[in-house]
Amino acid sequence: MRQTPLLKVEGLSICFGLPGASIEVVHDVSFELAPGRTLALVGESGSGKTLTGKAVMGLLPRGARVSAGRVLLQRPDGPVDLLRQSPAVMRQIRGAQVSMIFQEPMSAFSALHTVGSQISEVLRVHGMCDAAEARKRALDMLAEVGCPDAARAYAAYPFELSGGLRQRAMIAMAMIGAPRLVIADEPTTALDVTTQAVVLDLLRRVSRDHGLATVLITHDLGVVANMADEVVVLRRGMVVERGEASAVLTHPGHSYTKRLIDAAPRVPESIAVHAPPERDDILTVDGLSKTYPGRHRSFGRPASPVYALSDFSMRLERGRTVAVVGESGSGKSTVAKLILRAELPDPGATIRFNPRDGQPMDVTSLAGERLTEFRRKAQMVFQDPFAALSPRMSVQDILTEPLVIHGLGTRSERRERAAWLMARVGLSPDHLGRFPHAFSGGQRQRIAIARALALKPELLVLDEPTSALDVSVQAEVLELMGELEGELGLSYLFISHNLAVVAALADHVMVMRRGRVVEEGAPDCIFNDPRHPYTRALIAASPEPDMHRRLDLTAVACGAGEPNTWPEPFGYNGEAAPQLIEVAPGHRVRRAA
Amino acid sequence: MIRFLLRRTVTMVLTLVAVSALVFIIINLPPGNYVSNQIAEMRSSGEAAGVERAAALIKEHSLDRPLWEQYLIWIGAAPGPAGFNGLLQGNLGWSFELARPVAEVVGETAGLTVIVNLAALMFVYLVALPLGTIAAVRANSWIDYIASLIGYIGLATPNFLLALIMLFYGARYFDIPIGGLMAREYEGEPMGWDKFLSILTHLIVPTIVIGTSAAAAVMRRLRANLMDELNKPYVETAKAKGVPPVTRVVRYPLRMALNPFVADIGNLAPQLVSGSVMISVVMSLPTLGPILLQSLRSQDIFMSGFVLLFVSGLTLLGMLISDILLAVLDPRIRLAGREGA
Repeated sequence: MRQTPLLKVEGLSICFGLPGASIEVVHDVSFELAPGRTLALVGESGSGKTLTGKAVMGLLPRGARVSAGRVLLQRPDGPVDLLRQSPAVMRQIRGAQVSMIFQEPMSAFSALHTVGSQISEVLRVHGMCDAAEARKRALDMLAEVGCPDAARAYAAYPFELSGGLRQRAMIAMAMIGAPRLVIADEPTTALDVTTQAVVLDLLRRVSRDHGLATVLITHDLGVVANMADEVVVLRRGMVVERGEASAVLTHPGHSYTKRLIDAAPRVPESIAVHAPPERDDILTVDGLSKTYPGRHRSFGRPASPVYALSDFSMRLERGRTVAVVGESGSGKSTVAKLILRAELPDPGATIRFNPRDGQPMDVTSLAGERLTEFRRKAQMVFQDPFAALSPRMSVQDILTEPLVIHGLGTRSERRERAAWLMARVGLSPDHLGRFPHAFSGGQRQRIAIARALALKPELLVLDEPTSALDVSVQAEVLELMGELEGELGLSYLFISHNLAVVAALADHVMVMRRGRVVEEGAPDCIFNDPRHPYTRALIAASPEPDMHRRLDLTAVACGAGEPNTWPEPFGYNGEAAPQLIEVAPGHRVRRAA
Repeated sequence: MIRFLLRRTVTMVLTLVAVSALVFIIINLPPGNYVSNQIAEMRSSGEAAGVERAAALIKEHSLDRPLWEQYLIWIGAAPGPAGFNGLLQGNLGWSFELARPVAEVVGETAGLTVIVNLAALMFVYLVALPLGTIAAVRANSWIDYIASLIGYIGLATPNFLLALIMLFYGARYFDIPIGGLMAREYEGEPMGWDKFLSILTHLIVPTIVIGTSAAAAVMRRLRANLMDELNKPYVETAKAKGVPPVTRVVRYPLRMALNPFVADIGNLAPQLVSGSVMISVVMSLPTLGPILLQSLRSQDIFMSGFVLLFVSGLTLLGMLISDILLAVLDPRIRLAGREGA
């Protein structure tokens, strides 16, 4: 017999605006959740998954209100409807019986208070124990969620902890009041892949140990496959599919679910091997390093310099794609900045850019006219299409501005070019007069790509071009970039934190960690025959919507640590790293010989 | 923390030295000074005896030396006609116009100026913080509108007009004394309980008049800042923990929104001093503002020099205090140098 559900959501509808003129954004959502089970609310942005979660907590933003439905929480003295409790009663329930884990631990913690005081505040607010006892329990909880030094984490401010530790502290804060229901809103989206794997494992362990019911809000079906017992798929505020996770993921009943599963990036199982063609390199980089000096203070010794990038070399063949993959702090963005001359590298580096017609350029010493010419030929697409487009310029102005700056074409020619660009990236030229806010995230990224193409560049640097987008949109944008590459003879330098995303596009993959390339090679080498423990950790940590391929935490643990914890022969000896050694043709690994 | 304090204090002293040089250069920029102007005047009216006396003054105060020497003698880093005898030795200089030592003229006035400004500062924060907070938390409600209305009136009313209105109605309905900072009979008397009380009652109107516009400005800015902070995720976190509403606002977003105002303490001091000149004239307050104005007009260089330096010193002190407070309030500033984990 099934257990009585702890949480029962019945016919929940949420709308924005005043009665009479309101828009319904969540429509008739129902589900129930038994203790000890995890239910995933899955959907893309705008699907209403977060609003549903917040409605349970009574945390709806200003302007939103529940128009129908009940949210029943089973309590010892019978079920209560969370939507119809007084603010005082809700305060008693929040934190003590229902708690929440937020997406961005950095902004969800106050920067002005220590982590410990924010965690133990839950106990103090609910009058569960005195200050000394609260401190003790907070320390125990921090240790339980895997903080290596609980006392230090307790006394630290949020910005002093790493992203993974911050999210652990967030989980400790959600757990300390011993709630029976936890709502986790994209709990690992802001984390690096390897950290995500570890935190997901922690969440699973904690909810099992404490017999929690968990509502997991996520857009990532890979996370769902690893975590959830049940799935509710939401689209535009409506439930399109509901059921056991294994059933939904292996035999999706609704075409939308099927599309979501197909769009999720995967680590490929086999990749066709490219025949080695004649080389015509558009970009040659050798011995690229970047050191940032430590911050000087007026008194006292200067901090030690930061080695953002050490001895980076690469070849980018014309018409092909090199992918640089790494987590935050790996130096991948530094590579992009140096190659585009946004910053100058340490002396001794060479960056040669070989345009199709014209003289090769030495990028580090370009100046004046030649630098302008280089900037025309090498363009960049940024990560966040919401921030990268000025909200006060029409699309027409956005697309013609690069031409105006470089003094190209007449007014009517520029207009024609803008219309052509719009059509080329799959948008209607009729929409040139609109402003960016009228477009969705994927459409904006198409506009950003069109802008990068305006000057007929030969090299595009793509800095995480899809990581701000929904999965289904991400697949479309990647496809568009693949088309453009062949059609316009573009070469890409593709920078990403996600190994699975680059798989479709890359001809050569370089995996970076702490400013150094640890492994590079054709995608088939990297995915089918990864040699370096860090590459293996990255592959093992990528969640996929496949119930039979769960995260392999031993592989993650082995490679995701600091370089000097890597097993022989890969470990670093202090600052000294081993060399890149060719293990197969074109496949190089950083290891001792 | 001690290192931080030491560093800030050293910087402050160095700045003060630089400021003193600047002040001295600036007050000597217009040609002539009080004494040379007088000599020229007496020459044209043919008063030979006066000219001689004035020439003696020039000798006595080294006004015939090059400017940099004059500066060193003024601050007491070089020997003048009477040996080392400058600011460092506690001699504030001589007021030519009033024919009295600067110390004597400024003495009590400087203290009173500080008191008036401190009172105004406290008034600003005591009024603006609660009103601004309430206006932000209850944004677009009647209480927000009333607070805004008061704020706009405070910003828009000329201070001297407000002073006159308040003096009139204050005297008429509340028996608040008019003008001055103390009753006549206490002037020049040593400080005592009665004198202190008298000063307090006289302070009420000037404090409100000087502080109102600043309070209104602070209030408007606090409202805007706090409304931004109230939408931050960490406020939602606090709500999700079950923290009651008042604690939720005061403990988290309000503390975050306070930073700019703490940083502003240093800037407020000179504003209040220069802004209160008109008020001081209208209400006949014995503060530094009118003295500074008069000494600048008559090119009474030692007098104006000292007053300017005094105000700069107040500003620097204010900044030191706000630096310390910021470091205490905000760990991000305090720990900026510490290694992250």
